[in-house]
Amino acid sequence: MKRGFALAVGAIALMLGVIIVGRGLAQHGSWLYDLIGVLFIGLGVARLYEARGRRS
Amino acid sequence: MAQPEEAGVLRRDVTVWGSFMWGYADVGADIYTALGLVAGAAMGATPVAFAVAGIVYLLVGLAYTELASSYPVAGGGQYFTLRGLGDVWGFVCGAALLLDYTIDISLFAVSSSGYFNFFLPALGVHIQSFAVTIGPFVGVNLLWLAETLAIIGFLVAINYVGIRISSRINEVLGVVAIIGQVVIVVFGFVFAWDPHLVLLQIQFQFPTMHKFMYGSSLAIISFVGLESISQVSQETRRPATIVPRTSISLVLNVLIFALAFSVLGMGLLPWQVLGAHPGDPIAIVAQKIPIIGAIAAPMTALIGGVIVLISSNSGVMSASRLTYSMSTFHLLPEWFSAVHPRYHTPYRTIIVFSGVAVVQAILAFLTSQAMGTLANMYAFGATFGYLLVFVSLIVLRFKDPYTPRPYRMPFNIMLGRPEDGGQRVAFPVLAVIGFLGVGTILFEVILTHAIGRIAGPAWVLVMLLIYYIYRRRAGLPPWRALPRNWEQAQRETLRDAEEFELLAEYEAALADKAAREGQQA
Repeated sequence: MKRGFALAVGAIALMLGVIIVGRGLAQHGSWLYDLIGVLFIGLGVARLYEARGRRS
Repeated sequence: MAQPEEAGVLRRDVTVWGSFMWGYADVGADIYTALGLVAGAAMGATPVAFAVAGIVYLLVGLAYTELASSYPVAGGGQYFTLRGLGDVWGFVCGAALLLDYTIDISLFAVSSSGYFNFFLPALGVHIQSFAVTIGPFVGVNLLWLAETLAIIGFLVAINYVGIRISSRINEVLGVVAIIGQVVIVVFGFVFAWDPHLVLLQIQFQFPTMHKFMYGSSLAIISFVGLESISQVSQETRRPATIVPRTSISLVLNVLIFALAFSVLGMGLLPWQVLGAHPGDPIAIVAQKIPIIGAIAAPMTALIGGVIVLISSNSGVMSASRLTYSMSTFHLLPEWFSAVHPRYHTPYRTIIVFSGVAVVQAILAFLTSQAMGTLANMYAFGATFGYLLVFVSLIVLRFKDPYTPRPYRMPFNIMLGRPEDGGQRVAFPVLAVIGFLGVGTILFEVILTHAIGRIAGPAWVLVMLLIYYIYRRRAGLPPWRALPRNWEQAQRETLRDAEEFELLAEYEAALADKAAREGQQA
């Protein structure tokens, strides 16, 4: 179940990150906005990468 | 997938992905139907209503995950209740779920037509112009009704002759629908979502308590369909491993998208617009997104129409599975599970319960809001069935602590003292909370659904009368459970599922029980 959990968290974080960065770019948000988005994308990618090596 | 009447030889050929998509075809389509109905009732508090129903659904999902992986047998909630509470309650639960399957057929046929009607204005046709007054019935939409009946007729025909929407088509459409949902959510939140509009609507358009209760009890319909994974668990490979994975993934997937669509919709449009489009709410949301809206809206309407159609079809198939299971346990006459001599399909079940769906659709169109009326009864059947499932889960923890549970609902209190010769029982705290949550939603349904509170119990009572007459005629006790060897049945189920480790664990637990009983004797 750990792998599934990592996959779910990774996918959600990645989607949130893309949405936050996208909104920042589309609506000229502040750099802080973009930074939070990038952090979410980083977290999402890291969790998805981690999920690759895990077994449930 | 094999037919229910071939249960003796049901092949376990459903994979992880197949099991997930089987459930998705049923429950994933619900948000396409529910968003407009809930917005019309819960007004500005639509996301809150979805969140309330979502929490209850999460608990229902965990309960089904435990039961379906422990008892991987076709029958779902009806089977769990039969084992936990005996024949009468097993029948009552089956009757409530059967009501849901017939509504599944009619409601999703109405909804599917609604999505296809999205294209009518492009052809110069307006669906509202077909609403007529027939005697005391105002606003009866004849075109929409005709489309709905045609869809049900089509589904009856393909199921009667045994043409299946293949698993491959089901899986491809599911993937397309999920990709479509992700695109709409991401593009919608990036380019169009206005958080101020959401907050303004929650703050200034909050409904009365009565309307909020109605809305949150309607929101539960966006989460109905987990039964499907249980229904198909008898055909799933290694169900103890696969069912928990697919079930929890499905619960999370549906919860995230239901919450995302409700928050997105309220940040794009006033609730009145969504409430005015109960037939195609997701397409209306997609239409509002800049850049991709012109393409996304018709694509969403098309995908929505087809995925909801598949959901309607799963109602026809699941009704036959459930009826088969009930007749196997002498809860319904064997007449229902008769097989067509030429097509080898359960034609009587298909005709009878699709016929019920036709009657429901016609009666619903005589009311001012056809979808709302059907959703009323859908909510009753689901919450009543789930309530019994929670009770069964708690009872089975005490009655049958020996069956290995590959997945167990979290947060348990350990009871019993093995050192004194007692069996340790894990008391499920979350199941009690889930029972209270579903009980609250059922209370809301009875309090606020004028049609559901009459039609739902009436259906269960009529079915109970059929059950009583059948058992009397068959010389079986109507109100007492028939003696059954559940231990042997569980052994056979685990052996059939090739869950040999669990079988060994089960045998060890039974041997331990026998030894303890021997000592006490």
